[in-house]
Amino acid sequence: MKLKGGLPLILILITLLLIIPFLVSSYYVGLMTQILIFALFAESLDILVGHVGLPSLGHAAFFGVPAYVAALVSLHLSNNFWLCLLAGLCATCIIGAFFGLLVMRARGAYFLMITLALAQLLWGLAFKWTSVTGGYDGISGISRPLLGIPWSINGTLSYYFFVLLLVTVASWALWVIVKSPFGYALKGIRESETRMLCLGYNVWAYKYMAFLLAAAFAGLSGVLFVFYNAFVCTDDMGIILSAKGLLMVILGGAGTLVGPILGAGIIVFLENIICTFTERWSLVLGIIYVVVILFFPNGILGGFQKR
Amino acid sequence: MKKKIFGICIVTGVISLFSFGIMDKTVMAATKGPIKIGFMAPYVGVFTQLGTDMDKGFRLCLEEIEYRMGGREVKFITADTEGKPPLGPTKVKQLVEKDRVHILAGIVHSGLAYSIRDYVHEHKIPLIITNAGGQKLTSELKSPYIFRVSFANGQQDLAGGWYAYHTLGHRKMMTLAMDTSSGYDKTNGFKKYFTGSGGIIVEEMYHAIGTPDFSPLLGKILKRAKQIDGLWVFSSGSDTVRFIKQYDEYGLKKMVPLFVIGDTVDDTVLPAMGESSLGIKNYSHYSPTLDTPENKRFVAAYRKKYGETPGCFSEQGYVGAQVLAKAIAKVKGNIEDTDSFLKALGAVELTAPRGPFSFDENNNVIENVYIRIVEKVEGKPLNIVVDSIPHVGQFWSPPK
Amino acid sequence: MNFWLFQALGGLSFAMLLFLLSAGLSLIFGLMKILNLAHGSFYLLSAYIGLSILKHTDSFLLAVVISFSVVPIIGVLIQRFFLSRFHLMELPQVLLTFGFIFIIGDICLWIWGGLPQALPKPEPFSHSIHFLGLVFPSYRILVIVVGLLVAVGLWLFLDKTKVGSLVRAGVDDQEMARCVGVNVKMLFTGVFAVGSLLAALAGILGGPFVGVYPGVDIDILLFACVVVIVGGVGSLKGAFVGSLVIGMLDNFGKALFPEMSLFAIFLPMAIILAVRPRGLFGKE
Repeated sequence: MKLKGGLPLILILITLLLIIPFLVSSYYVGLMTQILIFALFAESLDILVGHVGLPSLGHAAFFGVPAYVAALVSLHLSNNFWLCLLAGLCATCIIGAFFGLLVMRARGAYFLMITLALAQLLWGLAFKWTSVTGGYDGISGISRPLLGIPWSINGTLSYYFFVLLLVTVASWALWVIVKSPFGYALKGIRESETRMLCLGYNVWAYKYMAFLLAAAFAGLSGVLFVFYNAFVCTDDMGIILSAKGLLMVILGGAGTLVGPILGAGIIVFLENIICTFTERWSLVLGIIYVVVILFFPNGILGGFQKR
Repeated sequence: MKKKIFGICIVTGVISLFSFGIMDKTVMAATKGPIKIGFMAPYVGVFTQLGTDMDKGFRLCLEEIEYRMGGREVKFITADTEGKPPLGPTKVKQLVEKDRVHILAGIVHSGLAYSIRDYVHEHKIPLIITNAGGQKLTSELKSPYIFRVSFANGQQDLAGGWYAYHTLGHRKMMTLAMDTSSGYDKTNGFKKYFTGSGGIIVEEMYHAIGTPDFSPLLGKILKRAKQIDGLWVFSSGSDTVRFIKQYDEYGLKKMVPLFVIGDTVDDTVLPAMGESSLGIKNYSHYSPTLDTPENKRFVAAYRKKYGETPGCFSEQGYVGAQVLAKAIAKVKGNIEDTDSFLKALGAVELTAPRGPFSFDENNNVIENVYIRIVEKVEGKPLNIVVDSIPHVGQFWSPPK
Repeated sequence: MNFWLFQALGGLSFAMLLFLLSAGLSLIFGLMKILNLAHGSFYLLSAYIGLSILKHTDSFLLAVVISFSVVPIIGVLIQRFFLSRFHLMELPQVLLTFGFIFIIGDICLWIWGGLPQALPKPEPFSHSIHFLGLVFPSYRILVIVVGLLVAVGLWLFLDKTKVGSLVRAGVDDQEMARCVGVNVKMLFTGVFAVGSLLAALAGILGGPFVGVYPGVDIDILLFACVVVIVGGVGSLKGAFVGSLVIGMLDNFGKALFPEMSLFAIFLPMAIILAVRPRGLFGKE
């Protein structure tokens, strides 16, 4: 999808995103904020899944850990958003660096299982380390930090625009990375690792870099989330969130980067709306998973074909 | 082609978001109408029993007053929190921003209560907590909008610990509680006047919520069985059923007597525990066998409607509704006058099924604590009252 | 002495349960490269079916028969009509199984409600026995015995029968097995059926002491995954040894270091991943 052709569409989208919040109730503005946050999460996962071809079932670890860290920093150290963000990103990069070393040898279904298990390890730590993470109870009472400039992000609307700004910038950054030689190399690795090795690429290094990159952007979304929700707990790093991320990527179209944004929008919207209509929303969600895989295995925007 | 699909998706999505949002805003223009009470409770998970009990008790009261308070119709809207703190923010936003409730009630789990405390305070929605005992909610984090009709974690335990030492004669005990903030607070409450009077807690243990298999913990108790003269336990819902049964199965019940907080042997879980529950001494702010006219009436009505005996949580739900009804009647249905409504709430005094009921200056309840023992009554296990300690508040201290 | 014996027996009974689950998971993964996340759902469904049958008829035998029929049928349907379409595409497969977790989980919630329950124990084993100065529920001993019997049975099957050797061949090298004329499709369905049968057995056996509640499907699945990682994919021996390690560590961990008990299982897993990524007995 070339940028030029899609430009009018993107401009329309941005305009809508700017206007709608003034026309709907705060509940829906909150939903839109959530959609933006998870869109970034899904995009970061797409780097791994759609571009390098590494299906991670543990991506939620890079969402939850920075969320916890940012929350703790904001409660005990500093009320400055950027400091909390920095702390969260550092934490996520350290974890990413460490996990990356452990998982780089795996591929395919093994990669799925190993990333799942590692994320669960962190989950278990968060669950049991009650003195720091609050365990089952999580951490509550988190207030929105200050930006250091005269713009308060306390309100629903102002936070929405702040998130919109950051997510747009981050998405643009991801787009640039993906369209760069680095990004094309990643796609090459997904197509055929052996070929890239023959061509002289240090495949391991590229994969590792991509893993760190994905972790970092997921970290940003996690920090934005914790200040939206004012609460963080182990669910924010669990397998259900990881699987949801994968579904968003597949639904929208893996490898397109824009597709996951669509996927995130659909999933968040459905989840929140379905549960107000029926108690059986879990069943509906499960059916959606199955239907999407059966009929849109390449996603709505037609991601990569079977490799 | 792809761009077309993308475009169509975006436009459809936006239009639906838009229409939902606009619909929302116009519908919400009406304010005076029925009073909407948003009830948050777990209907799934470990605490299902507690959630459904509270719901049943609340509804019983609503039925008795014909769903009218202060002359206005009352709408009862429930939200399933599954006992999971992360659902707190989601559900409270749904109830307040989407369903536009005027009042919130319910909540079993303290962690969940904490997760919505700031939201409730900032959005100025009165909240009647019918279980969650998180201490800070009526001390450091108190709010003029938050009221609690159940107990603060550690409240009854202050009296319980004192009683264990002075009347029951325990000197060396172990404690077991759920691994949550409630568990720690209750353990500390029990310890305060137990160890304060000279008793020794040999070891404090905590179990994860949803523990299926207590054998590792039971092994630890077994190891110390000769050193201690009692075990104090706080557990609830499905966990306590499993614990008490396994405690009996492993022969520990005969070796180390139990003196527990009422939740652990709440009347609604006694049927599931069966014989294993008999003879267990405990303390609670309520018992269905309390011999007062108010309680007898309540128990009969509850049994008639639901075919089972009410436990603490049922009574807490019932009293929550009673308190609301009384306060709303005082302001003649005009809850929109928030200041008067809050004042009326704080001033509520009534004779609840549990006995005398009033709030302290932090909006937490002051109530009696009853010492009970599980015995067979007409072939079924029930808690009968053997003693009582009156007028226990969150900061109770023993009589001189 | 009593303390250690007590905990060891407890750990052993949990280990046998884990073995039943992880053996199936490991074989399915090894042969078809499918990470069947719905494996926990088979446990869930089987336990609930057992619960209903036992509540109405008191016949343990009937409970076993019915869940042994229903669960593998559902497993085979899932494999034949859904998973087989995406042969070797692990992402669609894993998401499909995830969808089934929600579907099966919610249907169970709908039918059996949200309250956690435990299956009643079969009459002859509902009491505790006294030996060596210990009081121990006889039911747990039953679980240990059944687990060991199944382990021996499976080993005999894989090692000594023709079908068993086909399965091992498929796990080792699928392409070659196909070339040699093995009907791989039938083999896949068969192994999936056996795997789900084992999970069903775990549900009936584990129901009385682990219990059944919404969420047990994911809880038990995670334990099984850790066992497969530690023991090695596709290896029965690995599943057995892995289950023993994890079962014991979990029990002793909870007794000796309750604050770090979850870590007690995940740490060895991380060590294995770092030092010997294919697990103790896995093939690569």
